[in-house]
Amino acid sequence: MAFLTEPVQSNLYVSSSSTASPKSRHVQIIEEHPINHRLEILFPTLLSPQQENKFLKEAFYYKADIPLSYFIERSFIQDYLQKGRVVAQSLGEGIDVSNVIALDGSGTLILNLTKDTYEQLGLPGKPAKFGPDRQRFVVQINLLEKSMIPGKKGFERIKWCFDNTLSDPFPFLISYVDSATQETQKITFPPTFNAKKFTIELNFEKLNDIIFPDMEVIKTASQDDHWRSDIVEIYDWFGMASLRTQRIRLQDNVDPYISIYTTPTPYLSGNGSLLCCTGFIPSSIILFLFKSIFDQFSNLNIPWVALSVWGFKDSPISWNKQEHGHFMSGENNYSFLLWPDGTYILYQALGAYDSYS
Amino acid sequence: MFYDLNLPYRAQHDLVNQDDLRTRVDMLIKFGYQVVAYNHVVTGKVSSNETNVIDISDKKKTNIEQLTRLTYILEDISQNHGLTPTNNALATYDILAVRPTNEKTFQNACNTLEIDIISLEMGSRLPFYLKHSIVGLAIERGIFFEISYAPAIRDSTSRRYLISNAQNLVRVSRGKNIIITSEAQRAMELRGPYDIVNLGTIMGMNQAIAKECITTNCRSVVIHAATRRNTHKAVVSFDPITSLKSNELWKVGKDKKSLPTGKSKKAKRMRPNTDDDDEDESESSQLQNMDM
Repeated sequence: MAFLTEPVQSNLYVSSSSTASPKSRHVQIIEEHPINHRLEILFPTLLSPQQENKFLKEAFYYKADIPLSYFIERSFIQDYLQKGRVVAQSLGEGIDVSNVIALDGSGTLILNLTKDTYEQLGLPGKPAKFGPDRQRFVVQINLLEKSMIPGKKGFERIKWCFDNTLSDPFPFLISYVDSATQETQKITFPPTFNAKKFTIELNFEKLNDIIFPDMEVIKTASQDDHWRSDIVEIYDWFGMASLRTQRIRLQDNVDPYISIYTTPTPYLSGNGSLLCCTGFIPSSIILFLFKSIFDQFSNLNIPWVALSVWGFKDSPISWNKQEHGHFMSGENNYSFLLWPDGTYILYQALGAYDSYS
Repeated sequence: MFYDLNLPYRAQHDLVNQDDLRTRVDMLIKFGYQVVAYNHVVTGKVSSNETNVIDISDKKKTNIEQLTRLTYILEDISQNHGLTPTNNALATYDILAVRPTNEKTFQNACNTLEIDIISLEMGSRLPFYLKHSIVGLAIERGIFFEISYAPAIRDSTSRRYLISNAQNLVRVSRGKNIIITSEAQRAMELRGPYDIVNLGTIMGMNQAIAKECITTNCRSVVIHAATRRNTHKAVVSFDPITSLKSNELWKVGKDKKSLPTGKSKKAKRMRPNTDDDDEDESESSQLQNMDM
């Protein structure tokens, strides 16, 4: 139908740089994407238990029913927000269905609300950039501002709203990382919050007799179409590896009626290891694993490593407080393809409703 | 919120071709819908004291919002269906819909009847043409057109007609004021919300508009119905303070700890009352801006 325009499509941003370069944004990319639930590292070799131990790290997070008034309490701000990074994500229905609340690591409370909730709430906010016109609204509150103390008019208004117009508790996933130690630390919740502590799970899996594409082909970035199509094929292959499908196994002889997928050429066969990390993962853990990979490159004697991180589909932000929504899908994932000399290729996959670019 | 505003309801004794209501509602909850409307279909003349046959008292515990809907099959405009602005007998149903069967009743529905949804029999050839002018009149009055997708799943001939009728409706209404509902008689005929969005693209809408058809537009229907039932000329509605839940007491002033028995203490006006009638003194008035 000619008169109806097509909506925007999902995007895949690919960039290439080196960790040795001073302008490299790899730390920034990891730190500015605070809300993640899954991480995978793919090694194109089998790892011994001693090598595996170098990547294991203790970390935990909480699941609790928290009313929003807890986030503006003086004790919460002083004990946790000012001393480290607190990240929280509300659970519940999707961001295109109901209200979603998040705390990004830098002290901003983000409320992504339905029209009905927003009109009743009473705090100033902006219409969401995505979705039907004026059906969702975003309220951002900077909890680390100097004016967030009892007695100030703005604070009192927020407190009144959280005590009256939006007083119901939301189930949250919440984690706190101390700036001093960069480790996850304990948060003491009032008993009415039903807080449960969960450890982040790190598991190693073996992928035997796998076909790996030769990554040297794409190592040098270029503008021509050949490189661009190779890049996307390699990304598809990472997806297949993450699914642990049969299609990338050496002996796979599937009927073409079922699948015609072939690993991009040139390729070689070998064994692989997948480190899977699931849970509410803070950026500090991702940074630790990123650095561990480089520390271990010489020990492992492998040509490359791939690190992939998945964000929440219903997260209200993707990178750097950029607004994110869920249209038909809400992906906000990234993958690093790393070489021992520091060169890397960064893939950032974003759904249709996202303002990061 | 994802809505399904047409889940056929039959009286308990007639369960031949229909899955148990509970099975279908459980499937809707599993797919991620938040609001469902049970539809009772009536043919012919209706008496003026119609009471709600739909029984939802034992289903209150489910975590889906349940509404009731009445659909009239209009055959003759001379029958008084009571669908005029002054009739209150149908207030027991949350949503009112009609299904016109010929050109005259369709025109009547779009022009004058006080309803929320116009539902068309999409599974077979439409007995009348849809014209821009008449459909435009209905859109201006805030009435929505319904496309039900279950007939396409039940039967392959219906599928062809449904897609072509739906494309026609989308073209004539320019994609506005359309809602997509299931009309599922079995749980197997239900589909998830994102699948419905893709189905909408076959009908000629793009994905964003199709998504609106099961979210924003359905919300507008529910609000339109509430405006029609509860408010006086869409400006004023009265609710007693006792109807407020405990977390809504801020609406009448923070210090109201106990519920009052009689007179109103404070009437908050947000818009001037344009009506000539006097306020009822025994209840507190609450002006509601019915914003769609």
